[in-house]
Parts: sequence; C-alpha cells; structure tokens
Amino acid sequence: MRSRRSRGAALAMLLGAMAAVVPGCSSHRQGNVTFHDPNMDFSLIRSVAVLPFSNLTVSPKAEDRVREVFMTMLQATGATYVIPPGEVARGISRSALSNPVTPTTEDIVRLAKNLDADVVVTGSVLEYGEVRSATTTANVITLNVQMMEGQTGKVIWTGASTKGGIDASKRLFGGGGEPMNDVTADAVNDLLHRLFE
Amino acid sequence: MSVLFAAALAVVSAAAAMQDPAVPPAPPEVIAVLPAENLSGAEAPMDAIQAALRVALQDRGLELLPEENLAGFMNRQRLRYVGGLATEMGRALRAETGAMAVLVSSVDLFEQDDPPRFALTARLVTTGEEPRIAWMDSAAATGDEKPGFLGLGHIADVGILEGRVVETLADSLAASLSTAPPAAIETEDVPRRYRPRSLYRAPADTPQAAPETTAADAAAAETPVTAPPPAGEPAPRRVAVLPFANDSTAKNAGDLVTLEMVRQARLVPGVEVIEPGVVREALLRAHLIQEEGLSLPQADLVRLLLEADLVLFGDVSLYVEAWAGEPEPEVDFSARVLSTRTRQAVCAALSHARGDDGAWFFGLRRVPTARLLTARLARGFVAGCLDPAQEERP
Repeated sequence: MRSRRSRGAALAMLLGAMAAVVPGCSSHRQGNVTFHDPNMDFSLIRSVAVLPFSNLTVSPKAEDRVREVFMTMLQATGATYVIPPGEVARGISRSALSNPVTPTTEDIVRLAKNLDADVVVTGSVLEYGEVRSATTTANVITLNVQMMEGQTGKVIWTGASTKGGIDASKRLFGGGGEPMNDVTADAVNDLLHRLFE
Repeated sequence: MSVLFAAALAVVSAAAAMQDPAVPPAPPEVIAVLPAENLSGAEAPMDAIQAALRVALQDRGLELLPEENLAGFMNRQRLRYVGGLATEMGRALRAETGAMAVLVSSVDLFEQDDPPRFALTARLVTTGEEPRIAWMDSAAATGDEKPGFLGLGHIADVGILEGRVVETLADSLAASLSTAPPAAIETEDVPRRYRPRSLYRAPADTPQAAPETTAADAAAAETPVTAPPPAGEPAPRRVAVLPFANDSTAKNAGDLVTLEMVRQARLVPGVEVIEPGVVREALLRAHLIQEEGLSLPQADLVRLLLEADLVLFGDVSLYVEAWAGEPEPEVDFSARVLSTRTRQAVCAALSHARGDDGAWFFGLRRVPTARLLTARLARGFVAGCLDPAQEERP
C-alpha cells in the first residue's frame, strides 16, 4: 500500500517536473513588439512606398524575398496602394538616397515627395533560414518593420515578428517545421494584422 | 575610278541579292521552323529534336520551309536569336522566303538519367506587318509518371519521351490549324492549391470599345490574323509579358515562367498577348532595363512602343526541378500587372507550390516536374489577374 502511494507521488512529481521544464525548453519566440503613434490616423494612408529591406542574415536574397511577400500581402489587404517596386527604385535614384535601407528623415521626406507616397516602409530581416537543435530542424524568420510618415519622416509604426523555429512539441516528438514560404507569410501576416488592429 | 567601280559593284550585288536564284520564293502557307532554343540548362540533342519536330509536322501535311532556305535567310540577316520573332525579321522573312508563319520552340526540360524527363514548348507566330501568336502549346513527359503494375509502365529511355512529346505538340498544332481555337481558360478548373497564395486585384479595368472601321481601313490592313472586333464591342486588351527576373538557382527559370505566362494569358478571353520577340525588340531598342520591376516612365514607354494596355512582369525566387537529391519539384514566383492607361498596378500575386501539394496515396495527383507545376501556377495567376469573369465571382 505504501509502495503504491510512493509510486503515485513519484509519478506526480515527475509530471510536475515535466510541466515546469517543458515551457523552459521552448524556443518558440513570439516577438510581439509593436508601436503605434497614437496621434496618427492610419485610415488616411492611401499609398505606401516599401524600401529595400536590409539583410542581417547569411541567406542571400532573403531581403528581396521578404520584401516581395510584404508588398504583395500589404497590397492584397486592399487597404492601401503599394507603389510598384520599379517605381520605388526610380524614386530612390531620383532622390539620390545613398543608403536606401537605412534612410535619414530628410531622405524619407524627399523620397515620399518624389513618389507621392503617404508613408514609407523600411525593414530588416534578422533571421531567415533553418535552425537546428539536436536532430530537429525547422525554418525560422525574424522580421522588423518600420513605417514613417512621408511629410515629416516621423516613425508612426514599428513591428517585429518571429515565426517558425523549434518548439517543445517538435523537440519532444520530432518532425520538421513549416516550409520557409509559409513561415514568411505567417510573419508578414502577423505584422499586417498588428498594423491594422 | 575605283570609287565608281565600287559603287557599281555594290549596285550589282544588291540587285543579285534581291534576285538570288538560290532562294526560290516558297509557296504560301509555308511554315519556317526556327532552331529550338535550349532552356533546359542541360546538354540536349537539339538537332535530333529539331529533326523529329520537322518530320512530325510534315507527317501531318504541313508544308515547311526547307532548312537550307531558312539557314540562308538567317545568315543574310545575321539572325541569332531564335526565342521569338521581331517585327522587322518577320517582314523580311515573309518577303524573302514567302514563309507565312514561324514555329518557335524551346526545350524546357531534358534529363537522360533514370527517370528521364522531357518538356517542349512551341508557338506559331505569323509573319507580316506585326508578328502575332497564332498557336501555342507545351507538353512534358517523365519516365515515372505512369509506372503501372510492377513498374511495367516505367520508361527509361528519354528518346521515347521525346517522340511522345513531339507527336503531342504536332497533333495540337495540326488541330489548331484545322479546327476552332482552343477553349477559353476556365477559372473553375484551377484547383485551390495552384491559385496565388496572396492576390490583389484592382477593380475592373474596363476595356475600351473598338472604333468603327471603314472599308478603306479594312482594305489597307494586311491580312489580319485575328478578325478585328465588331464595332462597339470591347477591343482585346493587349498584354506585354516582360521577361521575369530570375532569383532562383535554376538556369533560365525566368524565361520558362515568362513563356508559360504568355501561353496561359493567350487563353483568357479578350486578351491579346504580344509576341515575346516583339517585346524583346522594343526593350532592346529603348535600352529598357528593369531594376526591381517596371517604373512608370518605363510603362509609358512600353505603351508607346507596343501599344500595350497591360504589362505583366515578375520575379522567380524558387525553381527546383525534381532530381535525385530533391524529390519534389517546387516553384515560387511573384508577379504584377501594371495598367499603362491608369499607370497603376492592377494586380499583384504570390504563387507557390510543391509537386506533392494535394497528392494522395501512391502519389496520385502529384505533379512530377517543375515545368508542369509552373504551368498550373501560371494558369492560376492568369485566371486570378486577367480573367474578367473572375472579377464577378464572390
């Protein structure tokens, strides 16, 4: 009788320990850092110029891919008009931006005037590609986006999102992660959801 | 004196060139078969494929321009680009050889190793005042697509696939010349997995009504390939498909997606796709280089040079053919349509699919090659972006 009780207690302790440890193992990061300028009326935004993103990863062309997904999904919301990337490239050239991925306030104002854009978006890809933990691999993306008002160059919205990666269930039970395309779309969707909320 | 002699020689040689007995005028309805372009990224027996295509067409009663005549024309005109037909070249070809149309073809996929794979795309372009696409089709085959019981249907010889694909295309061309044009694209046919993952489409860009044409105008027009629309009916929207940028690791992936977009866009009712050779000629003449897509002044230029209502362009980010190390093909591209009239993007989409998307047990419904996957994705894009019927659907 005593042994059965002690076995039950041991099982309960084991389950309790697992419950405490499993969340600690999780590396599923939900980056939900967002800033909204309370004085900005986002419904007035009619046209958006999305500048080339900076790439802080080792994956070549990751910034182009993520920017393309961001532009198309933003346009697909139907809430605003996204200026075509070729026209943005021409605007960058005409505005003589020395570094379009990290423009100054003056650069933003000049570019927005040239392109007739209400706001300008910049972004950085911080993580893009496969992560590995023991035998488990999965795709992960971390994306950081800022929106600046065209007239003043002031930051009116920022958002960061991390999607994918290896979570506790993948670590315990194995299985690959989502394809890179789906992870990218998830992250952009998350950002757009927070932009329009 | 020597100057006079040189001038006389030039006049005589010019006259001789005009009446060259070695180049007899071909009878009407003759088709010139241009050498096939190799877009497969692999070594392929292009001469053998070309010969097989010629034989298949001749077997169906089509009259072809003799190879020597075409080679002579290509030498005289210094014609090296065989991926399309430029306006000037079309006029010269008709004037010098009498060929009424040109067959432009490309080998899109060639793999000898087991399982072999082969894909061919071809289009018939009329010569004359403005080259127009009269027919276009594509066919692909793989050795393992129908293995059957105990793998008895497995094909290990790429030559057998070549024969099948060439016969399929020759049948399609012969049928198009003898019967009605192919049925218009049915957007309901596009399965959900091949529709764009993300799609923006602007409200309908209403086509302009066709101007009334007089009898004199009609007489002045040189044998139009397609009958002009009746007065009052909307004129077809002219679509220029610009070469897609290739950010993938696959060679010629941009060209393959561009060709497929041309083929699919042709099937949309009320759309006239400009021959890619004409588009290329205009881009070269205007020194138009797309940096990250088309800018608005460039769109204006395209409208001016090609009279295009819509410009379709994009970027291929992933094009993976199924090889030994990569079991499933995968294609990913983004595309945009810009209206030259409104100077605005009227459509933007992201398309992505893998060969095993939606596949059932034993690989049922699996798409075996990236070439076929591209065709389905392009159909999904075109149906979503260009088909007016799609606009009315909820």
